Amino acid sequence: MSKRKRNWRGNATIEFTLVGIPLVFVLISTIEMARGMWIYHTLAYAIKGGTRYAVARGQNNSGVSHSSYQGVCTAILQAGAGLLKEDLILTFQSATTQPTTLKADACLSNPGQWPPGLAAGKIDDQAGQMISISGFYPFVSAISMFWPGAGPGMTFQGLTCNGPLAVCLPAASQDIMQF
Amino acid sequence: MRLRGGQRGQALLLVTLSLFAMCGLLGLAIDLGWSYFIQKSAQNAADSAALSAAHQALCGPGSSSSCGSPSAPGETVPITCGNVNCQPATACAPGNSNNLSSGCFFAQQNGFTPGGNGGRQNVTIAADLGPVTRYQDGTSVPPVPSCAPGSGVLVGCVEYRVTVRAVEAIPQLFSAVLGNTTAVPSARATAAVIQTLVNGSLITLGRADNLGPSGTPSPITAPNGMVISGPLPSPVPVVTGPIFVPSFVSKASMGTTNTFSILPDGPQFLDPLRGYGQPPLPTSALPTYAVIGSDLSSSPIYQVGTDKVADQSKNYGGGGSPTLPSGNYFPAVWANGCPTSCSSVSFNPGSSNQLTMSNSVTFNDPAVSFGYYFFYSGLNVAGTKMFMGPGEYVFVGGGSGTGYALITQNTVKIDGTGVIAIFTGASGPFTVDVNTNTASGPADLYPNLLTQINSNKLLVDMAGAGQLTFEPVSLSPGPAGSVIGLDPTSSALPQNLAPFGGIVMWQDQANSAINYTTPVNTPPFLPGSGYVDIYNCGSQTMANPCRKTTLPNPNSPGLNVQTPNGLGFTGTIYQPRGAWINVGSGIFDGFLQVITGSVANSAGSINLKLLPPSLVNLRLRRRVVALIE
Repeated sequence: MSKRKRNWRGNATIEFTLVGIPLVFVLISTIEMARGMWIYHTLAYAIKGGTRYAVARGQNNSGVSHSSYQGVCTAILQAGAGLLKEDLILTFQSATTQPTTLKADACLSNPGQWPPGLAAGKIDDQAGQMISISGFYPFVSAISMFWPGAGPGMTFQGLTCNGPLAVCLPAASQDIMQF
Repeated sequence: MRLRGGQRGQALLLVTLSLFAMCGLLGLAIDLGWSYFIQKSAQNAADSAALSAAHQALCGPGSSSSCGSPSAPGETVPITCGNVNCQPATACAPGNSNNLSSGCFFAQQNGFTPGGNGGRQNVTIAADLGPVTRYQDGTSVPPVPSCAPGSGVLVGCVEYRVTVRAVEAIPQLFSAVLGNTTAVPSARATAAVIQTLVNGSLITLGRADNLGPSGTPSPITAPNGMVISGPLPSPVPVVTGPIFVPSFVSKASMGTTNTFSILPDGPQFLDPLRGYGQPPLPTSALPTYAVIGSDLSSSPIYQVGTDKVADQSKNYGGGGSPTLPSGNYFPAVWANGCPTSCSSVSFNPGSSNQLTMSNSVTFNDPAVSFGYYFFYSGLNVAGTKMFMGPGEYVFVGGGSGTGYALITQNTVKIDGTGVIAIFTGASGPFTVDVNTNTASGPADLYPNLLTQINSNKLLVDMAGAGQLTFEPVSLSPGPAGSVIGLDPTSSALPQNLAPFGGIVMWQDQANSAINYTTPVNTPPFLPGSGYVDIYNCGSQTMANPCRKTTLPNPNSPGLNVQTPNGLGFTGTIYQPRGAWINVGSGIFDGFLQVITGSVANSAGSINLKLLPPSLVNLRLRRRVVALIE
């Protein structure tokens, strides 16, 4: 009996060692997946908030939009609690102009009007025009430690999402200029 | 044994202690996530409720999609708290009794009602006329101004706004452990009826017999875009500026010369001036002036019914360069052997006797701040300078047979501020009742024109004798100057002309080849024509509306523009049918928005410059419903 007990005790350690490694892996994966989804949803919510801000900003009585890169980015960061401005990459696309990609911290110090209006020879800020904002945010998962030497992560238009092991989480929102 | 037991207790203690921290983390994930979800739902409910309430204030309750349709001219009714609903923040009552209750219905459909969800929800709705202060980003954005008269603001101002707040208290599951028992996610949205600028320097409605731009296309410069609402021209003109086309046009037909965009309006471009009717004429009779010999700058002018015949040499303002007052002007001759024994005047019709000016003339009535000037039998501007003071200039008919309603010669300079030129037409003959000495015209005669014709027996006789023939307008090469459209911010502008602010030339809708419906909303806009009629002929499209085939002169009141270099029109030219015929090889340019049936351009070119910010109030505006907060 006592011999058996001792054997079982040893078995438990071995079994735990065998089962525990994948178990911890699954546990960490679950947590990391949840964390990733949390960041993704925060990002999506923030981008949506920024788009709503831009379409509802209005024009002054010269027909010039009040909305600027600065304003939109402030709205995005206010809606996206916990997103770091150094890491958030934003792409602004309005009806008739090429997309502009910049990081949120640069965006915060850019007072330029967006969507561009008559001052820039554009009519992208007028009612009915389509705008879209997309954002990328890095997600460095603890799962990646299971793959030492993993690749450099995704890059987006030459901008690497902060860090070699990061995955760029994308989110985009499109809306029609209200006024 | 003792050691082992001690270890077991430690685990229990550790788990118990970490449970608080774990509850905090769980609370962050579950309670905060739930709050975000409710906040999103509340925002959706508030957005849809506010937008719906504002939209139905503009387009009528229950009609969520009828704005812009011929049967729903509600969008042109003046917005006051009398005909829409204003109230302070009040609990929402879903229903369909007015635009606000109908908006609340949308909040309900999105899951938010006052006292809903076990009494944990509340929705309030407030509505008022502008202005609006935005709260979302504190003080960085100035308030949206009101469009109220006297505010001096006409673009980007708020006429009416609806604010909806939606809130729900949600009990906390895990955060409650840390003392946070309730979260209250809330959202607010403000939608407004706003006056905004209309895109397009050159708008072809495609409603003429000559559809779309035609002829050999010459370069067109339209910095604010060209709107082609109808069949595309072939070949496509070279346009500097964006081109907007309705979504029914296939991209394959667009060619590669230009950049095309699909109109944001939807399947059809909506004429921003639809439903307003026509610029109203005065409802009271003006004095009538017989121009003996027909030259406004040098002939004796006789005020019929007031001046004695002995005053026949009276010349308002004297010879040379008179200043003429408000009134009806027509070419006349003395009757009964003048000058020795004059007793009356008679109308002197004919193209050779149309009103002319061979020298400078100023139209400016010191007695009134806004004048009305009617010219019968056409006006030939051949003098050195014509100055037009603020007012309505109505060109009634042309010289019999071949005269134009208005013709400018290349020697003249025309200046004016606060001016609208109206070109009328007629679809049938006048009849005269000899007993009452009044004329009656065709049913679609320009609104209130008969008031002026019936103000004097001579004009009645002229109409009855068929001497009012309606001819097109010809702007010849050469005239220089600056004619600025109606100033909508001027305190002198009659209130019923306010919707026509910025217009510099207006073509009679009622007597165009396109049938217009009569607006339902008569006051304060006079009856006349409203929406393009697409219902009474079976064709049922805006591009191919009901047409008239019985016009006596299908060119009337058309517009021939012979590249008048340097004639600085500023404002809007409204010529909803007929071609913009650009004859000659010069450049037609001006700070203009042109709404026309189509463009027939020849060797010349068209350069429509964008109105500068200082003249933004002269730009075309329209009402839109928008989410502004």
